[in-house]
Amino acid sequence: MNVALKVTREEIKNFDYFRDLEHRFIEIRGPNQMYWRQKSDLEKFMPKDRETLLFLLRSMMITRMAEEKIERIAGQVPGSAFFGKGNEATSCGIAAALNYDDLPFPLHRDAGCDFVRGVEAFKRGDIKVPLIKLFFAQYLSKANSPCRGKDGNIHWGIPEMNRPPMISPLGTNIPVSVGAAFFEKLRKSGRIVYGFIGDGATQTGDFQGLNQAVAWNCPLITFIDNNQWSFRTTLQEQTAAIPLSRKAEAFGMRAFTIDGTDILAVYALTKIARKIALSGNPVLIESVTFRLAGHSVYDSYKEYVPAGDLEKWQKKRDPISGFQNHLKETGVVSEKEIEALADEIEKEIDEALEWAKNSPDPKPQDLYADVAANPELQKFIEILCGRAEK
Amino acid sequence: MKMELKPYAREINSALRGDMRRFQELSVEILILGEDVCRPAGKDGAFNITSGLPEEFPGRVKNTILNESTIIGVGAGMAMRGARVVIEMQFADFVTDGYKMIVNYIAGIYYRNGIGLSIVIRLPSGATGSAGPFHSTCPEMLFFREPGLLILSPATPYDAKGLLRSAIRQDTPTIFIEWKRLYGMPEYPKELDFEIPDEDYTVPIGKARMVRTGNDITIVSYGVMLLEALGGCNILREKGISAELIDLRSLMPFDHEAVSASVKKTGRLIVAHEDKEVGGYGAAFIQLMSQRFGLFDYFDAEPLVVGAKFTPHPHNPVLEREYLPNAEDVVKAAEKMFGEKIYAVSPVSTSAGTAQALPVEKVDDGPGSELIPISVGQKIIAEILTRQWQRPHIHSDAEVNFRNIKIEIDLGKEKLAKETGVNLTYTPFIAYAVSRVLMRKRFRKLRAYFEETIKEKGKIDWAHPKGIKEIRDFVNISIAVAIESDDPEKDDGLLVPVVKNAHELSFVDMAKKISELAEKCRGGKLLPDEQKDGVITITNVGIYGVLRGNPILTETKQMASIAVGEIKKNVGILTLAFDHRMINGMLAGRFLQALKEYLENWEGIDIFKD
Repeated sequence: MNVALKVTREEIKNFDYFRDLEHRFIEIRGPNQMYWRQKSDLEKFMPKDRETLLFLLRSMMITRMAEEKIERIAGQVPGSAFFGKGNEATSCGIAAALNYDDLPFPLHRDAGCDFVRGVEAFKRGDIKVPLIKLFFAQYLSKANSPCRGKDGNIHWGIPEMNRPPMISPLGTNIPVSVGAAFFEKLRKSGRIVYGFIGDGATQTGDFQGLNQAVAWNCPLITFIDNNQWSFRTTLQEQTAAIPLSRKAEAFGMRAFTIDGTDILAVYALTKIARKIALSGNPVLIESVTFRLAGHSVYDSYKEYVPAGDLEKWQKKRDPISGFQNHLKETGVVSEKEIEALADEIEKEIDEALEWAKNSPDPKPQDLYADVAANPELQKFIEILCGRAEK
Repeated sequence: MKMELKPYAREINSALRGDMRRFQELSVEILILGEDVCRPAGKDGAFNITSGLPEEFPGRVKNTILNESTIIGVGAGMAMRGARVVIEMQFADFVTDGYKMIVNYIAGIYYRNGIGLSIVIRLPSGATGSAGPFHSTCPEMLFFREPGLLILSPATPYDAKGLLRSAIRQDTPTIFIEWKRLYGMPEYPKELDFEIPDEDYTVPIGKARMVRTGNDITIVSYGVMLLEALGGCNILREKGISAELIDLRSLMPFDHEAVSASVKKTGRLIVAHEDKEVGGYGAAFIQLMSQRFGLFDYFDAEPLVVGAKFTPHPHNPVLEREYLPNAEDVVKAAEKMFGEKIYAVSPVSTSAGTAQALPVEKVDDGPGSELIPISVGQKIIAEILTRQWQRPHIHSDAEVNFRNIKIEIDLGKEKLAKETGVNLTYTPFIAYAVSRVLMRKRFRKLRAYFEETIKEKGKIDWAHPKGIKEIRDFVNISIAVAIESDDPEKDDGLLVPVVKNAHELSFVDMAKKISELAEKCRGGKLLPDEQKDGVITITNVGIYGVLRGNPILTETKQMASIAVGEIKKNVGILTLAFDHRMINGMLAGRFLQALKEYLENWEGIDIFKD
């Protein structure tokens, strides 16, 4: 690695996520130890083989295209929909860099994480239908979806593929992932746990749960999906601790801030972080992106997100077109091959959507089923609902 | 240094120790999490509940950061991977910091995502004496409305041990409410002091414990308040009230069957807890028992909650005593249900009919008196009527169509007269209907009567009934029979013979009995015994062409009286007089309506068959 340069006070003061992370990233080794790193430092850990590169591309494309499909049929979707547009390099890059057996705690903008892991899950038989089908069934809230209609959209959890659910208060992934990580450590399983939170969640009390991870030396990586917006509030309105990785200094954690739209950089840094985590030192990684969509499908974000910002990030930091250009420039794929790949994915999506549409809705009486694992409580709840014999 | 724990705390500690061993032998990870749960020298946990465990199970009893949301979240993460987790909140009050994690994350995760979690959250709850508003809370209602959580609350060492084991050994998140006051209790009253067996036992979730059986009132309690409730039962016993005491143990699910059976027997329900009276467990419990479990019609008195006042938990001992419920409050609630303490005094006989037999007494008001003398009987009647007039009784009318009855009479009159000599009228039909409808459980208040307060000289203080003396499980019907005198110089009279056990008589026997009693009246052969113990009176004023009567309740032991107006074109008016202290307008209305339906839908009993 090259000799690291300390980040100066002046540089922190004038920190700009767009400008400052193009060729560099930040490493925090401890209090007052904040260094610049060159992305080239990561090259050793970046994937080189065509198969992996194409897998990353495909994962990002299917994530984007599946969500765009939902956007087009939003009227048929019960409730709302939440997209990770702009976040694909982060979600796919991280999941691809880690082992299938490592335990993820993804968020609503991390469907890419599921599309990556879903391939292995289907191959192993952990899930019986391709993940893309489950994705549409879940969005259409069908009886055969992971949540069986009891929760919708991206709140799914798929226990069969070790995919815990997320809940809407976003900081909550931290304590739960800490508990899971401690368990893996106790069991000496060799697994690590990785969880996601939003940039807004670094203001929550649950963020303090990272103290527990450090105190217990948990094999944990916590990723901040920093898309710079909490619904309609900017990050700058919420905190002066920018970049957010600075907050880890207080916990005595290793931390990084990286361009989250560069999948190769994210992938490589995650590989490095896994080693650190496995040694019993939890890691915080701020993966910086820009939300290229609304908070939800019905959020008219263009009315409040400055057009200049949106254009700038869309043009220069769209993770998918950026990666496609890179692959074309390096001769890995041709434009034609990309088009063929898109056609193939489109077909897969249409087929999955059709399958989901033809899937049954839950029946009214399903409302009362499976409220509690405990049979006495379950029966009692049915009685209280007037369903069972008293 | 080994800690000497008192029974309740000791058995919780023992259950934890035993199940940690048990699951470790099965190679299942089991962990205890909490603030200060792992301290040296046996000082484990604020109440030493985990004492000795860190030494025996190194690395499995974990001190956590001071962040309840993290503690519970961490527990959820461990449980999700297959661990069994017991979490200690240092004080139940602090659970609010982890509330989001419980209600948003773990309560519904099985429903949403099919993930069962073995998490027991132990909550040291309740007042301990000037512990103030942040160390005294009762947390049950924070969780009651969150489907997917078990809520358990043991009161005895035996149940604490058995229920904690049951909770740890299943996969639904459990709110385990412990009582700090019980931690320090050196010994239990003998009714709650059960021997702890050496062998492994569990206490079933959802089953109550019958602490004491009784007949007059059901008291449902749990946790530390159970001891106060037991004290209340002892005081009530001295006052002659036999209370049944049920320790709920399991608050969600709760043992509705045990409570139903008890209330169906006693007709009265008190829920006693340290939780607040307003919006507390009892409020929800009574609503469910009344509505979902159908007890509404069985209540003889309004069910009551005995709980803490609806104020913040105070600090000063004087204020805290005022705030907390105790045994005396349980007694007061019971007394409210019964009126006051019940005295054994003989009821006043008020049968107006007996006046007939009394001799005429000459009065001498001194010289110049020109009053026409009246009989002692008439005087007594005047006294009784005036007294009863002051009794708050009101009237309701129902218009009844006797078309079906008329057909019965037309069809059967001749045959009945031939076979039995009975002249069939409307009266036996009405009496029969009254006897059947009145036996219905929901109308039992019409069969009840008060123990009245007797003022000097046997006068009744209607304003202060002491309680319900009896609810009769039979219907004796008083039938007013007018005795017309042939001699125009003599007054007409009235006798009120009683058809005993009318509810058991067949229709024909009823008609025969009424006819027989009327004969006796007219022949002057009615015995005093045959005028006693009526439950309700029927007076047929219609025979004089009167549209409707407005009866007065002459019998103290009768809560209702029915007058039957003239039946014209098959339609007649039934007027119900009722004691408004016992019977509200709704119940009277329902009774009249039921009676009307019974008569109008008379199904043509084969009157000659029975």
